[in-house]
Amino acid sequence: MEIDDTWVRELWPRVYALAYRMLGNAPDAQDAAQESLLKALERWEDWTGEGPRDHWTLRIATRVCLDALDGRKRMGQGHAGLEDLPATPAASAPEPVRDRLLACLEDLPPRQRAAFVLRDMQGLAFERVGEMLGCSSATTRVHLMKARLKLREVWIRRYGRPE
Amino acid sequence: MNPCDATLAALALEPEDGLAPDVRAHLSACAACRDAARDLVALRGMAGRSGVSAPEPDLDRLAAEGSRRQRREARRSWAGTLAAMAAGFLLGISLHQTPRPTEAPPPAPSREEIREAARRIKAALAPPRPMDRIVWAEPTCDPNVTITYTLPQGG
Repeated sequence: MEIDDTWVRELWPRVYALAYRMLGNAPDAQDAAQESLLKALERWEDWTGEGPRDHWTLRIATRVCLDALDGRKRMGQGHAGLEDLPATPAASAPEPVRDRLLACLEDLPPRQRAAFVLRDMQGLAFERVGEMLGCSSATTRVHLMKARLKLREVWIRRYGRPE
Repeated sequence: MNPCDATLAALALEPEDGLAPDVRAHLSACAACRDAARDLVALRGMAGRSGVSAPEPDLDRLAAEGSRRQRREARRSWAGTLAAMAAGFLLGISLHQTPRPTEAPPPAPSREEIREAARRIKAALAPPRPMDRIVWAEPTCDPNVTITYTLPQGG
């Protein structure tokens, strides 16, 4: 298999960030990101040209992460551990806030978590979030609404009012 | 749904055209819902700022995994081809060993022939006809010959 070096390097940070936010720890994120890119390369010919290839790849990555979360749920596993979180760069939010967010997201069902990550953390447009999740716009809105309310509830229970 | 629940749902739904007048009216009157609105905005702000630093992609690992999958796929493909060939071979042998008719089958009997055969079978299976009733037996000059007068049974 020929690995397109440039394409992988360009897309890797976004796929990794999505996987990290969805799965909450570095080793799982690395595995999921690698799996997503390999799947995208394997199905390179399946891309219909509809929309950017990056979005198509992120959709594959979302599916890989949802499968991983569903797998965890089946196995009765929870969060893999915040000690695995990588060092935070200076430009991003202080580590505790991100870690807290990820810990709270752990309490959300996979699709609600994915909706929140894609919309509020990755900053994707609403329609894109629906595409990534493979559900209608109405269902996406419901997932997102429930995710935000649940996240607030969990945050307050754990850390008090967000500032 | 009570007004607070409806307001929370509206706040979390990210309305495209802003909040509806009744939601705004409720917010101005309800401190708990105003707090909830502030919480939701704060959480979204934190989420938007929570960056993730990705490590460098491990291209060697990716390439190795890609090659491994390609080999596995090739093996699968070869296994499939071999299985198909073996199946074809076995099918050929079984077809070869199946006895085949060497001459054409006889033509189907006509309707008349079938009727005649049915009649014969019926006759063969019919109960035996009872013996005729002898009403008179007359000796002749030949001791081996007797003239008999008979009537059918029941006649």
